[in-house]
This record gives sequence, structure tokens and C-alpha cells, in this order.
Amino acid sequence: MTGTHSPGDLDLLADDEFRQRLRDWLQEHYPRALRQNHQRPFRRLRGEQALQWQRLLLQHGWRAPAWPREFGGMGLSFRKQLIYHQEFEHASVARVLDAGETQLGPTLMRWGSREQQQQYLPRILSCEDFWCQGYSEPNAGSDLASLRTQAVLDDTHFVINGQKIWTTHANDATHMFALVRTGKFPKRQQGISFVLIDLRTPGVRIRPIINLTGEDEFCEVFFDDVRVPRDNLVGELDQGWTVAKSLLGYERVFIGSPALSGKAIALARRLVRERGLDNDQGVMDQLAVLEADLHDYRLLYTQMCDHIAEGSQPGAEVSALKIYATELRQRITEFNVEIGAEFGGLLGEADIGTTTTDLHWQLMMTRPLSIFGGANEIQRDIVAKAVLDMPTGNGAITRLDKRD
Amino acid sequence: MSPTASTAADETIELLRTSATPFITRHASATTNAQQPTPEMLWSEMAELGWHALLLPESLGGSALNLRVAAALTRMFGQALLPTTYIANTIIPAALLTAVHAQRGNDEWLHELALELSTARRCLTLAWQENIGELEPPLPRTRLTHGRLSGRKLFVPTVIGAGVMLVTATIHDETSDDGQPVLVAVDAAEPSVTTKVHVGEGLSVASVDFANTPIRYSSPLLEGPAVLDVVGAALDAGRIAVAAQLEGVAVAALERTLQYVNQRIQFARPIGSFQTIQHRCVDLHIATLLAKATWQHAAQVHQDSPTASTIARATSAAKARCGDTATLVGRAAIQMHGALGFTEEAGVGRYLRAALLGASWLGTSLMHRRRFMAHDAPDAAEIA
Repeated sequence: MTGTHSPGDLDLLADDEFRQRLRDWLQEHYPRALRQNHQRPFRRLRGEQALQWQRLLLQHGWRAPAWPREFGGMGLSFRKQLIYHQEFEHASVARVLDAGETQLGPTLMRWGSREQQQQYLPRILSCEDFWCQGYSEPNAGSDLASLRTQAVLDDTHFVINGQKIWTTHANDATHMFALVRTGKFPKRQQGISFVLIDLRTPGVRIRPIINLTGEDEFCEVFFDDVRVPRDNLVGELDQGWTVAKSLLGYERVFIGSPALSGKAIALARRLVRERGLDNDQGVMDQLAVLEADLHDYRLLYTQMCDHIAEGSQPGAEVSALKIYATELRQRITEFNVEIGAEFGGLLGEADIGTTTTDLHWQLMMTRPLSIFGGANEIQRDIVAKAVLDMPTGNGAITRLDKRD
Repeated sequence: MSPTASTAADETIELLRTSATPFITRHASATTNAQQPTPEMLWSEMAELGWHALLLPESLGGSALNLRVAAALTRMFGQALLPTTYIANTIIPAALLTAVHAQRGNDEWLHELALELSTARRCLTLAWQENIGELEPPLPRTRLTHGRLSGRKLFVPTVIGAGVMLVTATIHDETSDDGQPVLVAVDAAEPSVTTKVHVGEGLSVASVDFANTPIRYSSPLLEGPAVLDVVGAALDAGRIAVAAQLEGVAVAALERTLQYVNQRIQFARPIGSFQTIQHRCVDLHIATLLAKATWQHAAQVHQDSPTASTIARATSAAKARCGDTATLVGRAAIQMHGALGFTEEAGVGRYLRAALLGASWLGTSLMHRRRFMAHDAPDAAEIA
């Protein structure tokens, strides 16, 4: 690694020094043209731009903040990880959805064999492999345990048949970690296995799905007699549910980050000014509700993160963060559409005063927030049972992220 | 604030919680009107527990604790639906006396008022408001001329027994610069003071008329523009305590509702097993989490004493959030108790009444959100 610091340095720095060092580095190295802005407040990077950026991070020792150093990560404490994310947000760095770093990596560290760790982890960091998550199926969304993609074991291989859907960035990915059915048991959560699939294997077919922002972020993936080496099983056979559950750790906290709502509210303020509505008390009262909601939510988020940094395990309260953060961001974009008046009904670029934005894109970008990662209805079920201790009705609850 | 200071405050809060629990349990268990403690009983018991002296500086015979501690106490009062008089007649007057003390030093009458407050011999109240819907203390129309007070104050928390009113006025005579604001003390029992009382859950307030009423000590406690500043600061201290109390009301209303929906059987199952009930309760729970975060933040900002504007912003955010949350949960509690919730006997409606009182007194949520916006200055919390 030709870094600007040795990996051990950073976690020893005082928080403020660490923050400044990262701020300076981002200022110097993150391309201005790729920043989140009023037109694309929730911009993401993918493809070649994402690869280049992540390789630069690796080269300078800023990649994989949560990974322990023994696996090539930065090994930051939770508090420094928070600062790390704050600074990326502060510098308007577009996000990269890297399921290899955030999901598969930590899973392999816990459940993978030494060989699997040695084979896959460095290639995640170097971006030689790019991973997607294969969980959802046409009839297994919120009710994930009803998944049916089948893997039949012969002497050396699993033979996989079936279909995954809503697979984010499958069309960019080289590999998929997937939950597949390997056995029949009375309990549906049993008989599921966690396997690693090279998407270049014969029999894999990927079809992108165009979403409401006009982008092909997610895909359908079909498996037709796809042969996957037996060594690609992670954890025990039929125990994939347990393996997958352990993914839902600290990273979930960051889904609740208020940062992108901050970008949206900055746009809201600007649009109100551009339209000369800052003397309209009705409009200002609506804006005040959103500003106060964001202000108060930031306090709650900071408080919960502090608890975790002091050593509490992130529990089901994290679901509460996800619910509020995502719905707040949706409400802000809805306000922006309202302020955009006629432009609110039109697609593409809108020039409002001196501000160029895309109201439709940001409204639509916030729709899936309450759907993916466990729909907000499911999150509410989790909080009701796990935090408020409310009774279970008829019908078993078979969600992946139900707290036991 | 350093971690050790934080820990010390947390320990104080824990000690206070322990000593407050028997008091609260005893009074909260009163379910019938006959068992309800009278304000006089609560008032003198609080004095025995030393609670009236919590916020006063040591030089005025107090414990010099900060608002975080007092707010932890008012949160418990909220949970138990105990009266708001502690905020009106202790926290706000104590904050006011403390601020006046900082301006004036060791005046003899200041010690007398502090002693009267901490021993519960006299009950103090602040009379500052002259119009409906005011947030900042205005330059008063109430006049002080040759030591006599004339004018009308609104929404003055009532006093228990022989109380003392701390009244803002402007001075109009040759002894002073004409039109300067002043703070004076008035015996509430003066015959020229007439009151019309409005009752709320946990607090009664009065419209008060002064007709050539003599003032105590024959001269003002404080004079000049600083009067409006110290009154404003005392009001913000009160608002933070009200916010904490409201969060307590909300948490208790939700807790009671959860107990009810989890045991109420309809369609052969507890209604709390229905998703629609569960999701409503989760949203209410999230609202209480936000509410708690806001008053804790405001109390911390108040303690760290940055600018008045920073305190105003944090305080107004908390008051708006906690007021909205308590009324939201209060309304939902009635709905989820069904017809039972609409009965006086069940007592569920008391949460909403307490919420309405706290949410409207010292400024509504709408007013406070506007004030929050007017003091728009990014603070530390907003870096996150």
C-alpha cells in the first residue's frame, strides 16, 4: 500500500485531528465534478467512476473504515467511523453502494473459512471483484424466508435454479452472495444456505430493470443449472439464515444518517428564496416543521450513535432511526416539488431562478428508501415487538431481521 | 462539558430520582379526586425534600444545581401527572432570582425572597405577559409610579397561600429615567390586586389587575433594559422544564396505552396484536424519542451557557417538539382506549389536558418553531 499514512496512525489521532486530516484529503482528491449538488443532492457513483474513486481511497489508506486492519481495512473505532461518514457527507462525496465492503466482508470475517477470507477480501478492497446481494425473489420480499431458488448438492457442486430480483447493481457486479434453498425443514428459516456465486458462470442471465428515476440500478437475475463449487458455501449447510442475520450490525446505523436530508433541506431553503416565498408565512411554517424535524432528528441520531460508541449494541432502536430518517427525507423532497410549482410536475432539469435542479429525480430517489432494507412497515413491526413488547398476532413472523 | 462533569450531573440526577420516587409513587397512585394531593400539601413536601432550593446559587442558600437536574425532576412529575406548579412557582422564580442576583449582588431583600422560596413560606410567581400569544417579554404597559403599580397581566400562574408576584412594569415618575423597565415584588394578597382564575390540568393561571398597588421593599428589584433579559432567560429555563415534563406526560400516556391494548381482547386477540395499532404506537414511540433528545439537548445548551440566541433556538425546538408530541400521544391514547378513553372516570383524558396546558403555556409549538427559525444558527448538533 502506498499510503499517506501507515494504517495504524489514524485511530490514534485525536478526533479533531482525524477529522481535519480527512477533510483536507477529500478537499484535495475528490473530483469536484462528482460532488452532490442541487441538481443531484443524492448522487451515487457507479461503474468506472466508482472503481476509480475506491481505488484512490485504497491507495491512500482511506478504504474500508470498519474493517479490521488484519483484513486490510482502516480498523477505526465506531466514533471515528462516524466522523469518517460525516466528512464524506460534508465534502458532498457521492455514495458508492458496495455490498462487498459493507455486507459480505464482515460476514466472511465472521463465518468464512480462512481460504474464503484470503481469496475474497483483498479482491473486494482492490475492486477486482464487485459484489451484489441476492436475497429477494419475486415471492420473497419482506417475507424473505419463503425464498425458493434451489441449490442441489452433487459431489463437488451446488446446481442452482431459480430467480432473484431487485438485485442492486447486478449488472455491474462480478459476484453475488445469495441465499438459496438447500433443504426442506418444518421451519422455513432452516434449509437456507449462504453461497458465493461467480456471475460469469454459464447459466446466469441478468436483466436490468429501469426504475422510476430512469436508471437501471436493480436487476432480475436468473439461474439455469448454474454450477457453483461446494467450497463457495459460507458457514454450515442449511444455516444461511443465521449467517445472513449477522450482517445486520453496525452498518445499519448509517442508513439513519441525517446527512442527505441536510442536502435536501439546503435545496428547500434555496428554492424558497429563489421563488421569493420567504415572506409567505404559510410556506415558512411548512419549512419550519421540516427544519425542526431535521434539527431534532440530528439530536436523536447523535445520541444513539454516542450510546453505540460507548459500547451499546445497536438494537431494534436502529429501526426507529431508519423509519424516521427515510420518511423525513421523503417529506422534504415532497416540499421541494410543491415549491417547484409547475416544474414539480415535469421531468428532468428545472431552472428555478438561478438554481438548476431536478425535482422529479430527487422525489423518486427517495421513494425506495422506505421499501428497501426492510420496508418501513416491517421496521415498525420490529419496533412494536422488540422495543414495545407488543403481542404477536396470528401468522408466524419470519423476517430476516426479527430480533430473537 | 467534560465527561467528569457529565458523570457528576448524572449521579446527582440518579440520587434525586431515588429520593423523588417515594414522593411520586405516593401521589401518582391517587386515582380519585378525594385522594388527589392539594397543592399546599405538595408544596410543603417539596420544601422538605429541598426541591425549592435546587436551582438557587449557594450564596442565596441554594444547592446550585443546573437545569438538567431540575428537568429530570419535572419529567418525573409529567409521568405521574403531578402539577406544573413546580415550574411556575419554583424553577422560573429561582432562575429569575439567580439572574437578578448576578446583576445586583447581595441585596438583603433578595435573600429574603430566596429564603421564602426555599422554605415554602411564600410562593412566588412571575407576572410578565400582557397579551395573548407572547413569547418575548415586551416593554410593559403596566406602570410603576411613586412606588405604586397599575395595569393588567395575563396568564399569571396562581400562587399558593400568601404569595408574592414578581411583576414587570415601566417606571413613570421623576425618580428614574421615564419609561425604563423595572421588576418589582408585590404581595398577592394586597386588596388592590384582583384576579380572574382560569383552570388547567396541573396549573391555574390568572388575569391580574393592579390598581395603584403598593410594591414590596418600596423600590424595584431591578431596573433598566436588563429586566427584559433576565425575564427572558427565566422563561427559557421554564420552557425547558416544561418540555421535559411534557415528554414525561407523553411517555406515560403511551405506556398506559400499551398496557391497555396488550390486554384488551377483541376478535379473540389482543388489539395490540393488530398491525395498525402497533404501527401507531411505534410512531408515537419515535416521537417520544425525538422529544427526549430535544429537551436534554436544550438543558445541556442552557448549562453550557453560550449565547441567548443559541439557548433560544434549542429551547424553542424542544418546547415545540415536546408540546406536539404530548398532545399527539394524548389524543391517540384516548382513541386507542375506545369509548373508555372518553370517560372522565378512566382518567386517560388527563394526559391530553396536561399536554394541552404545557403545550400552550409559555408559547405554542407554532410560535416556538417560528422562533427556532428566527434564531437560525448552525449549532454543534447540526454538524452530524
